[in-house]
Amino acid sequence: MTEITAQSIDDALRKQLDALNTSVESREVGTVIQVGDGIARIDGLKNAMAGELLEFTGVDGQTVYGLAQNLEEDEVGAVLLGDVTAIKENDQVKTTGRIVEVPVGRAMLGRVVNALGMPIDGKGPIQTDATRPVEFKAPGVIARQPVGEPMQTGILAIDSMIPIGRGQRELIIGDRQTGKTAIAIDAVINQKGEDMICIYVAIGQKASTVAGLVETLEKHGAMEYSIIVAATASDSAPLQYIAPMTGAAIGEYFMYNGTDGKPASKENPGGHVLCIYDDLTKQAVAYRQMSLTLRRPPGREAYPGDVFYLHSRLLERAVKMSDENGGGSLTALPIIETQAGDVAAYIPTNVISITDGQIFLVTDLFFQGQRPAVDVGISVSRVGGSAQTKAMKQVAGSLRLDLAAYRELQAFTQFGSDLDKATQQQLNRGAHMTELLKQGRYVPMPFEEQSIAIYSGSHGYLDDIPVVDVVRFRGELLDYLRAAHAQILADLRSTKKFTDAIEKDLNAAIEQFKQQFAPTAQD
Amino acid sequence: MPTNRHIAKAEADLYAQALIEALKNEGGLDAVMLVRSQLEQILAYNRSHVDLTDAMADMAYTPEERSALIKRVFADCQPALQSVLGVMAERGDIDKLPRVWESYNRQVSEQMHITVVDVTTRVPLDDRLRQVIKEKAGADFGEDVVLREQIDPTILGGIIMSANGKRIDASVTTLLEGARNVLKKTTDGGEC
Repeated sequence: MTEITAQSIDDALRKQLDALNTSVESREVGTVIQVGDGIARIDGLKNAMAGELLEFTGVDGQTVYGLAQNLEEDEVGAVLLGDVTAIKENDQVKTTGRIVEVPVGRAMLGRVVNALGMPIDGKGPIQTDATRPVEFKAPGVIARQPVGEPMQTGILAIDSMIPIGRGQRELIIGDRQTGKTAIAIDAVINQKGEDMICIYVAIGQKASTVAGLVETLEKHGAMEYSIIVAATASDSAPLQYIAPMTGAAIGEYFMYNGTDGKPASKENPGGHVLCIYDDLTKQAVAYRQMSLTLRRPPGREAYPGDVFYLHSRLLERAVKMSDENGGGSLTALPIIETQAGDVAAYIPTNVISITDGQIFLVTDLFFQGQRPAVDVGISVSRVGGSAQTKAMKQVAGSLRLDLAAYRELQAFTQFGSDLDKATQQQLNRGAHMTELLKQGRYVPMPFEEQSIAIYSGSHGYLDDIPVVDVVRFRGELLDYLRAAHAQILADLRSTKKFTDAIEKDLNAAIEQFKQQFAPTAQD
Repeated sequence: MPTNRHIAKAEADLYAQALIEALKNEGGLDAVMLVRSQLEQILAYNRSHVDLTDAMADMAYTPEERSALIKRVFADCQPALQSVLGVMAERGDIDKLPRVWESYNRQVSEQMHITVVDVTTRVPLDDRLRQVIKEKAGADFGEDVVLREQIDPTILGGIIMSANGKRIDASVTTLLEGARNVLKKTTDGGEC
């Protein structure tokens, strides 16, 4: 343990006092006219900028920061970010000349921070050297390149049919309790060893939920490459409003800089970041509250007119940088909660139109035991196809169409007419493939195992297995391959495609396994 | 009553102009400065007494009652200011007071070619320091400078100067507060 001496205390104090800035600067000053509901109206501050950080000084000298939002002829409307009760009428407000910034850096990995980047996990201060503005203009066309690298979620149904690429914006949408967060968390857990930094932004959630999530990530060893930004339900609306932007700012640091902390370039590649915004519905609600208390005119569903811009400028920060700019990426997985499956509501339609695809989760499927409850019929990835491995493309190419045909036939056969053999076969295959897509929580599958699972289904190896045994068959087959035919998995991992040799070995291995597989006894 | 903002601005200008004209006849620069100070106090008082502000603008009272209320509450103010406030209350224009204050300052500066600099110190200024401040501020603003001095023991030392919405704070309390923030930033960091 370090010994504390008078000399060390003296040195520490001197070092801190050296950091003091005793220069005097001229600042624009205004006066609080009215304060309430987390909003302050300020007289003066004629030169305040939109979004500028304002410094409020309370009666007892306490400093509270605020954001200038409404710049009107006579006054400025600002939202308060700290202790709103410390500010009273006639208190002084100063402009700062800067916008809100948050600390960023590698020291934040494994930590839980609030919307201002301050630690809330009780693990002490975070020593970072850099800060980034929460509002940052997204890179332009020249600085980008098309999405082309896969971002594996480890979830069979998603990676096979709705593939997500690094730098993509894929919406996860569904009613409450349909497994939206579970998909995001599985995606985080699957990034272990993938050179990906994960940022989970919890907006308006219960603190206990966030604590549970941190525990889950720690249990699966995912916290070491993750950062949690939490603006819980008890935080003020402005904090819930800036939390996603804080998450994006923290992520951008890793993307725009190499591992050495210097700007990314061709020689110094930028990092890859996965940013989950859980959920943007609550951010929109917080922004609506802020806007209404700022007396901005309400629009559809009482949201302000610029709520689309709020989400579009946030999601536009998801990017795959060009090689000249380091080739880093920021993948965004925004989450939207719908009410009774109403995707035509204002915020869902907005975010659907902004993102590059969506994963729809359906309550009915969830309660039918189809988990993850992804409705593959209406879920889509607009750019992910080019970010899929060749092996997956080879086996999953027709899967979506087969399942669509199966659902159509299934609806038709409910009328109970006699079926020809081909139709029966198609129904049987569809039922097996649907069953194959079921997957438990926190058990992400690497792409080679996913490919083999779908290969076994699409090549008819599951057709004569009872449907209830499909998931068990899949698990045991993969165990068998890992134990007895690890070379097939290794070859598939390295070549990333099904070569003739791999197919031959795999067919033989599956046949061999089927002979020893014991189906569950049927009554 | 909703009105066009240009009309509201013109009305505020008119109130301010009437007040300045009256003060020029009554006591010149000293009266103008006294009313500036009183107007500032009234604005601060109104902000922290919402009931009074509401009562002064309440149309349930007759114009005469509103005017009488104003004259009673601000009985210690300069008579010209009392009269203008009374008229504003009668006409239901008391909510325009912040605009009148702004217009008053602007017109004083334009008509009398002066800039008012509020100076706050711990101890009274001596003549030498007063002269130094006047010369420095006069050079900056290009106008004659009128100092409005205030003694505030809570600033401990140093000086605070403000003019035209800008503020230069070189008080000891602000410097100490800055030091406190620097020290706090390097030691804090747990739960917050």
